[in-house]
Amino acid sequence: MTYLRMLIGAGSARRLRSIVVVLVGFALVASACGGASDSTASGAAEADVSAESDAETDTGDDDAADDAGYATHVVPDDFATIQGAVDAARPGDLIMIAPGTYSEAVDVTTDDLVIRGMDRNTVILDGNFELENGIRVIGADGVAVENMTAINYTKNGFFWTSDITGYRASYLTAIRNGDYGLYAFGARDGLIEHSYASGSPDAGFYIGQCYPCNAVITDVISEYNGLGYSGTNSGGDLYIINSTWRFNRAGIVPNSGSYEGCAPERETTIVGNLVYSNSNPETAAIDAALLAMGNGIALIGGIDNLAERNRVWDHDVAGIAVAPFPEDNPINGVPDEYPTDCLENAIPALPDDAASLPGTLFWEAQTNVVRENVITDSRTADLIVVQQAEHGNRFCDNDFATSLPADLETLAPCEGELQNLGGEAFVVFLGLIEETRPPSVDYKLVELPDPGPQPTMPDAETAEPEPARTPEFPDTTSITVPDAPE
Amino acid sequence: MWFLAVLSGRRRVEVGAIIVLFTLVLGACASVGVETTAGGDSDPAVGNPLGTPIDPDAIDPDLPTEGPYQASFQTICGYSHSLQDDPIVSPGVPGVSHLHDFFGNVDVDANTDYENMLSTGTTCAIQQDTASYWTPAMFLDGVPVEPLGSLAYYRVADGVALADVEPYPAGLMMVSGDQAATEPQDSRTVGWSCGNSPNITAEPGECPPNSSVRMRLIFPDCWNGSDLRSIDNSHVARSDDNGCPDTHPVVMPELEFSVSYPPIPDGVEVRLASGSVLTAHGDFWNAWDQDRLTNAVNLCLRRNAYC
Repeated sequence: MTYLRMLIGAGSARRLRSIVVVLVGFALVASACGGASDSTASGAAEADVSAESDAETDTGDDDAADDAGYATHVVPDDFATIQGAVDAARPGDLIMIAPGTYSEAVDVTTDDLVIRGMDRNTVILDGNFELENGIRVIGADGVAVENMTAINYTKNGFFWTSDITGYRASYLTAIRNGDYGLYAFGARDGLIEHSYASGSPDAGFYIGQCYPCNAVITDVISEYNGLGYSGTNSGGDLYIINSTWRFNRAGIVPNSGSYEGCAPERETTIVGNLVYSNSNPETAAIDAALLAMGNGIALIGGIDNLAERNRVWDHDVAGIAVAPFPEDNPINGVPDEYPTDCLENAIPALPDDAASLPGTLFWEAQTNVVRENVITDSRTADLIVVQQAEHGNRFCDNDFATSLPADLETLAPCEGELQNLGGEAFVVFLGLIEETRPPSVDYKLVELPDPGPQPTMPDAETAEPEPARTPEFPDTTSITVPDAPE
Repeated sequence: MWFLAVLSGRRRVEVGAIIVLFTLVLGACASVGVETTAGGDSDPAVGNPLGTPIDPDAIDPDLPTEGPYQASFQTICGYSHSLQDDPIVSPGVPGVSHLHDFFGNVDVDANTDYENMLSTGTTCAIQQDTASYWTPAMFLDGVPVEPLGSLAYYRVADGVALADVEPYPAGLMMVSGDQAATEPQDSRTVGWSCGNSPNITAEPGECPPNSSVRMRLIFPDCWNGSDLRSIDNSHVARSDDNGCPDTHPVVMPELEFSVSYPPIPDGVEVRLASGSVLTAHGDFWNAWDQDRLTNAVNLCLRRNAYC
C-alpha cells in the first residue's frame, strides 16, 4: 500500500487500530553479448571470443550494436554513471556495471533495457539516505534489472511503476531502504526471482495495483522488514512460491484498499513457502506492519486467494489468518464490478465527482482457500478466520494444532456446506487489541543481519540480455511442503 | 453490529496514534540530512543524484491528448514553523500579516530571498523541494492548532496538453483562494474535506470520529510568461477545457496543496487567522531545486506517468 497515502490519510491511525481489532487482528563481454566492450578492467571473464573479439569499444553511439542486434554499454568504462549509460541506450541494449559503489538514483524510461551488475555482491548502489530510489523504471516496458545490490535509499531499492508491461528482478539484494526493497506498482508481466530484501519499514517485496498481474515471485528471502510481502489491489496469475519469509513483523500480507486503483486484491497464489518467526518487534515498521504483527500469512480483505502447502511456524498471533480489512474514510466504495483488466492509477477524484463515504468500509475476505499447509507453534491459533460462513472461505487438509474457531475444517471445509463460524475469533481479537505494539525502529538505525554473499547470477558476464516478458507460470501442483531449515 | 459498536467506543485512543504517526514522518523528514559518504574503495562514479533530465522531445506519441491524466508526482511536507509574515503580500516587513503556518522550506520569513531558500533545508520528503507553502493558521476556540502535515500533489489539468506542461519558473509566487471571502469559494479551487475524501465542501463538514480535517487548495496552472509575482495574482490564471487562456499561455503543473489538521472536537469554534473558514487560502513560492523540478515535469507529467 502506498506508504504516503497511508500516512497522510486521516483514516490511517484508525485503520491501524481497526486492523488490530480485526486482525491483531491482522558482457559483458565481448563475445556473447555483442562484443561491444573491452571489459578487462572489470574483471569480466575472458569468455568465448570466437565471434567479435575485435569489436570496437562501445562509445555509446548508436552503431555500437553488433550482429546481435543490441549494444553493450559498460559502466564506468563507457559511461561514468549508470544513468549516463541508461540514457544513451536503445531498447534491447545491455548495460553492464562493474564492481563499485554508485551513489546514484537511476531513472529508466527506455523499453527493454537489461541493466546488469557484473557481481551481485560488489556492485552496490548506495542512496546514502539522501537519494530516493536505486533504480526506478517509470513507464518503460520490458526492463530487467539483474545482479546487484541497493542500500540506504529513502524510498525503494528497485522500483517499477506506471503502466508497465514486462519487468524482471533477478539476483537483486535490497537492504535498508525507506519504503520497499523491491516494488512493482501498476506493472504486470513480472518476474521477481533469486532476490533478497531486508530492513524496509513497509514490505521487502511488493506487487500492487494490477489485475491480472501475471507475475511470479520465486526463490526470494524477505526478512527484518515491516512486512515480508505486501500487495494492495493486486492479483490474477500472481504467484508467490518457493520463498522464505521470516523475522518480519508479519509475513505475507496481500490486502485491499480504495485509496489505490484496481481494488480489490484477489487471486494471489501462495504455495511452497517457508514462513516463520514473523513476530519480530525490532524492525522498522509502518502502521499496517505494526498491527498485522505476529501473523505468518494474513489474507486481509482479499478474494479467491489460495494458500497451499506452505510451512508456517512460530507466530505470536496466527500462522494463517483470514480477516476483513476495515478502511476508514474510504475514498471509494467496494466496486460493484471488479475490473477485468487494470493497471489504472487511482487518480484523486476531482471535487465535481466527489462522493461522500463517511465511516468504515469493510473489505471482506471472501472465498479464499487454505489447504495442505503445515502450521505449528502459533500463540493464539494456527488458523484464524474472522469472517462468517457467507464469505465462503474454506480450509482443508492442513496440518495444525489449534484454530479459531475450533473445528474450523469441519465448519468451513473445502467441499460441502459451510456452517456458522460463531464470534469466537472476534472476541479473541478484541482482547488482543490492548496489547502494546513495540514501536517502529528507525530504518536508518535498525540492526540488520549480514546476509553474507548472496548467490550471484550465473554467467553474468556472458549471458545474452533478455528483456522482460510474461513469465512462465509455475505448475504449483508439483510443489510440495518445503522442509524446515536445520 | 456489536463489533462495530465496540470499535467506535475505542476511537478516542486513536487520536494519539495519528499524531504519533505524523511525528514519525516529520522526524524522518527532519533527520534525512545524513552526511554523505562516497561509497567504497572502487568508487568509480558518483552520479548525478538527480538523474539526467530526459529529452523532453523523446515523448511517446501515443500519449493521451486530453485528461483526465494519470500524470503526477507528490511529496509530503511536514509543518515547519509559524510567523506573522507573508513573503508575497508583505515582503521585507515582518510581523504585519495574520499568523501563517509554513511547510517545506524551513527558513522562510518576510525577509527571505529566492537565493537563500535554495540553500536551506526543507520538511518535504523530497529533499530538493525547498519551495515554501503557507496557509493561515487554524484556531479552535481561539487557540492555534499545529497542523499534522501537508501534501503537495502535482498533476496536469484535464484541458491542457501533456507536452505543453512547463516547470514553474524559478521563483514564481502565487496564491490560491481569497483571504477576504465571505461567501463559499469555488470548490474546484478551495475547500475542506474529511481526511483524503474526495468530497470537498466550502466549510469543514461533519467528519467521522477522529477523522483529520484537510484544507485543500488547487493552484492556478497558467502563467503570463513574464511576471514572477503580482499584487492581485493576475500573473497566473486557471486552465479550462480549452487549455490556458491567450493572456496566460504558459502551461504549468496543477498543484493541489492540502494541509491536514487533527480531528476537530464537536462544539468548538473553528476559525482561520484570516477570518472565518471561508477565507481558506494558501501561497506557493517555487524555490524547488529547478533541475529537480524540471526533471519531475519531464519524467512524470509530460510522459503521463505516476511517479
